[in-house]
Amino acid sequence: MTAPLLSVVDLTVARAAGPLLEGLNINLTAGEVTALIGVNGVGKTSLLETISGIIPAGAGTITLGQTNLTRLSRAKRAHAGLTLVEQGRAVFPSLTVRENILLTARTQSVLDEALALFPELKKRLHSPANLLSGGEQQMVTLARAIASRSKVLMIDEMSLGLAPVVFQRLLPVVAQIAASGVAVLLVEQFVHHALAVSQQAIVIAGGRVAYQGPSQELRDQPERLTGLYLG
Amino acid sequence: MLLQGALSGLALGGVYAIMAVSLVLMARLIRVINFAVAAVGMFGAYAAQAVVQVGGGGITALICGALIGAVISLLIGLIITTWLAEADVGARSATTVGALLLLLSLSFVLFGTAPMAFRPIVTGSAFTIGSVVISNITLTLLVSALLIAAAAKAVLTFTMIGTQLRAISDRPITAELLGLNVAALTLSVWALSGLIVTLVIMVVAPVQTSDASSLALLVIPATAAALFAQFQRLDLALIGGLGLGTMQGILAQMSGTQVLRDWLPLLLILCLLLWAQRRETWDEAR
Amino acid sequence: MKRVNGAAWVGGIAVLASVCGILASMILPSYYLYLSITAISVAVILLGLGLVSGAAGMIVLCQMSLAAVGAWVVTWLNASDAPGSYLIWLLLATLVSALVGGIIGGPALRLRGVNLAVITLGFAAAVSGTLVKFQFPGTMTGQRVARPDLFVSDQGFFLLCCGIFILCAIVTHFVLRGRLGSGWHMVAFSERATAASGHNVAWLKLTAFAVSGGLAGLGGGLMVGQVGAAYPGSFGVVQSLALYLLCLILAAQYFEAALIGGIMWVFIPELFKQAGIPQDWGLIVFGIMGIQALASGTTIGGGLRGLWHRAEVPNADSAPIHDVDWIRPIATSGVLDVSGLSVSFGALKVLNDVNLTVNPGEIVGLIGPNGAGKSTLIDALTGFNPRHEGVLKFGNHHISAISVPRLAQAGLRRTFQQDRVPGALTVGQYVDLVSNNASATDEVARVLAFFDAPRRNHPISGIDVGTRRLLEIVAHLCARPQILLLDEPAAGLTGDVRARFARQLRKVPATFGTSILLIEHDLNLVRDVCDRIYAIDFGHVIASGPTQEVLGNASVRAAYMGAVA
Repeated sequence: MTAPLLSVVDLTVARAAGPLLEGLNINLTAGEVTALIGVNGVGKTSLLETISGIIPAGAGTITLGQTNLTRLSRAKRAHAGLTLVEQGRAVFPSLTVRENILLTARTQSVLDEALALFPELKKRLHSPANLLSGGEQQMVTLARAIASRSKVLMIDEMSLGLAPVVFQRLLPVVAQIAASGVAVLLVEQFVHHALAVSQQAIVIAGGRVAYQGPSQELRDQPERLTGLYLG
Repeated sequence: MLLQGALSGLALGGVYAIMAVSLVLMARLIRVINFAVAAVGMFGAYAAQAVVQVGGGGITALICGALIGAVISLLIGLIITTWLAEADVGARSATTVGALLLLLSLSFVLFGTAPMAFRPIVTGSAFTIGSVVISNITLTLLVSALLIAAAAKAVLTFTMIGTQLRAISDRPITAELLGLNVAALTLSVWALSGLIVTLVIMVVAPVQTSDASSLALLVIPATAAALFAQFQRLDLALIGGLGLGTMQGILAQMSGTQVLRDWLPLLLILCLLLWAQRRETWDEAR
Repeated sequence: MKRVNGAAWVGGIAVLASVCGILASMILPSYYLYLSITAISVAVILLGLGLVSGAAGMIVLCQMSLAAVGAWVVTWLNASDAPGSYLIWLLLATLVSALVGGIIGGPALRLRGVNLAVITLGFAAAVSGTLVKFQFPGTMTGQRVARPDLFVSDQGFFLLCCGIFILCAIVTHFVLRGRLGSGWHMVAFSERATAASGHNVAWLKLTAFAVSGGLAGLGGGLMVGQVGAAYPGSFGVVQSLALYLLCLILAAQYFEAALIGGIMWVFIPELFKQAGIPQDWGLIVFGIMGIQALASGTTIGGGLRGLWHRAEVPNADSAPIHDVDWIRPIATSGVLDVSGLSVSFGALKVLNDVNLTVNPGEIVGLIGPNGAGKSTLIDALTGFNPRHEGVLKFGNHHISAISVPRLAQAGLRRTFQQDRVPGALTVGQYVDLVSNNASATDEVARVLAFFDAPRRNHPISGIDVGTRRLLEIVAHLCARPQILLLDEPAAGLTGDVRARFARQLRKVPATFGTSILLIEHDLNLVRDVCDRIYAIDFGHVIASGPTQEVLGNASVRAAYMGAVA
């Protein structure tokens, strides 16, 4: 059992209205995809925002490797190797595709590496990102994440507003990223796809972790999954 | 005669244009309308003049003034970045209004209220075409305005720092999440703005009514030019500033246009703006 | 009950203030009496600025210029030997500057925030420049404005100013607490929510500017009466800017804050002068206090009022209400009938040929994954999205071209996903504003109790986000609408609060006569509350019918959870 790369201990995820989730314990391993699933409003995005530093944690600790992230600023967490791909395709709209990716790539060679997985972007390299389709924008955010050479990648609802066929195109890329040694946390409402590509699954329902374990088990027991998910 | 008026107005127009470029950049990149931009320049220019009065050399005074302007602008930026990071653009801009008043009254206390006799930095006429004289000041400021606007555009478009700045203005939180040092980049913009505007005011002050209030309130035509550019377009800020200065210069030569001089720019900008925003029904944010 | 007490309190304070004023006029040495007259004149101007900037939330950097308009009217009437005397001219000055204020408000309808600030600043500079060139009427000829015989002495004029300020304080106090003031606070907070409550945003903005301009002109006229003439230096840009900062520091829409501001304006520089320090330090103090107020987000006036509210004794708790069969339901003739609705943003088709019906007395649900187009649907139905195709009918009327406030007034109401309930109001003020007083006070109290919402006099700033969204629903229900569109109302409610909410929602059509279209993600809530539901994905309706049937539908499951891989 390899040591976890990202370790969340006893975390409280809190919003202005009050604590959403309490006493969370999550471990992410390098090279593995972890699916985080649950209905809307249960707190998945808030959890990612807490880990990445957008909202402060109510209590608990977040550790990446040897570094304690809990009190660090957002930029410092990024330098420590944590990347969040935000919900809703967070491209910089006035920047071109190339400029978007160059922000994390810094050099042409890293840029080329990141683009290798997305040949569709090659001909859109100099388009402002706001003119791209939803799928292309999501590719840009993923390319940017790959170029950042982060150790832990958290992806929030990649499928949002994307046609299923585009989503199918992007899922294998997530698996490839994990295969290169990155710990991936994948938040998805399309449960079956998330389970298909992940090794570990975490289900959040009713304000707590309802299931944490191998994805295979949930794949084998669909009624159990539906019960957990739809209530 | 009108042409001469236009040309002499171009000097002030250059000042407006440079300040408008600064205002547009800060509005886009930092989400603030810096009402104190001219006051900072005024204070730096006064400080430089004080250095001259105690016996300092011209170059020393110039450098001191510019540095003081940069530092003061940096301090204002620091206050806003530290305590008003999450505040809306109105609150952040109101803070610069406070800074404007602070700087004005501080200059009264430190340097007195009498208009300062500024030692000219740039003098003489550049060249004469027929009966029309183009002074060195006009030329300097005009060329500076063009250079600064072009340089700003170039930096934003072609350099890594420019890309980072544009990213910050698009989505500041995403930029932070990518590891960009938003504070350092933002404060650099504040400092640079203070430096450049101080130099500009030091050049133009000797030929202006140089009491502290008038200098500090040069920001008003500059904001009008920036508004013309909708706080977005650098080229329009340049054109707006130069155009405003030229218009003022021409009107100054025509008799019987005293009232017009005060009101025409405002009314023009207002009409242009209302026409540009005629489709907007709802406040974007709320 | 609270209203009567409020009036009694204000009356008491007015009497107290009058007594203080009379005492002051007798005790104060003439030098300080003279300064106090200035203080009160400035307090009136500041009160106006507080209304337009503090309450209505618009940045106005030309208040002293509007005071100059008032001063100009008085001096001009004096110089032209117009009929009437000072008091009549003062009234005219107030009216003219109210008109000018309203005209300046025109651009405010299209320009917001800092854009408006820049225009008002330009206006201030232009007025100042013109005044310096032309001077006030009568200055050149040395004609002084005479005070009315009754108030010719400094004591007398001081008492006149006190009386005028007390009058303004009373009027603005009640205006602020009433519908107009609530409307201003709401416009400052959210223009969309204001329109969705049936109110005209443009009217609210213009009245704020007009009232503020009127008060400015009144103050300017008083300054003329004090000195006998007007000088451009008193009405410059720097003065307007300093006044704006003072307004920010104080929350000058409260009359006590405005008075403190007037006193600060005069006596802080005076203190420095007495100490032998240059008076310019006064401006420095204002600048520092202004920056501090902005950085901390607090105001002196807000702080004072906060103390006052904390000292108020709360009303006794009424017994909890479980059933409301005493509220008469109104006739339910409204039906929502949507056919072929399509909305595109550029090339992106967000809604595609949607058909939907809501019958009287029904609770209909609308479910679908994020990004499916649900909020766009509500926007199109309520007038926020005038560019759409398809036929929208509300009770047999075609509503595609009708404005948001008119639809709201006609009984088609909606709530918002984001928090659109202004913290500056109390529960009672908010409900009255949104419901347009369609329900009597005791009915409102019982509706609040029915939904376990806080009482009328509770300030909204002390209420958490989830309860505020509940309050939004209550307020719209009190307007007795025919149909209410709820955009994710249960987000932020947990556990048994959510369960109770479901029970309360279930009773709404029978109790209030209001049908409901409910957009929700919480499928348990939808199951408990809705008679039938529509499921939407990528802008299409993919299933519709009885709740259980749709939830069991395979394509609905696939839309939510992805097809089985």
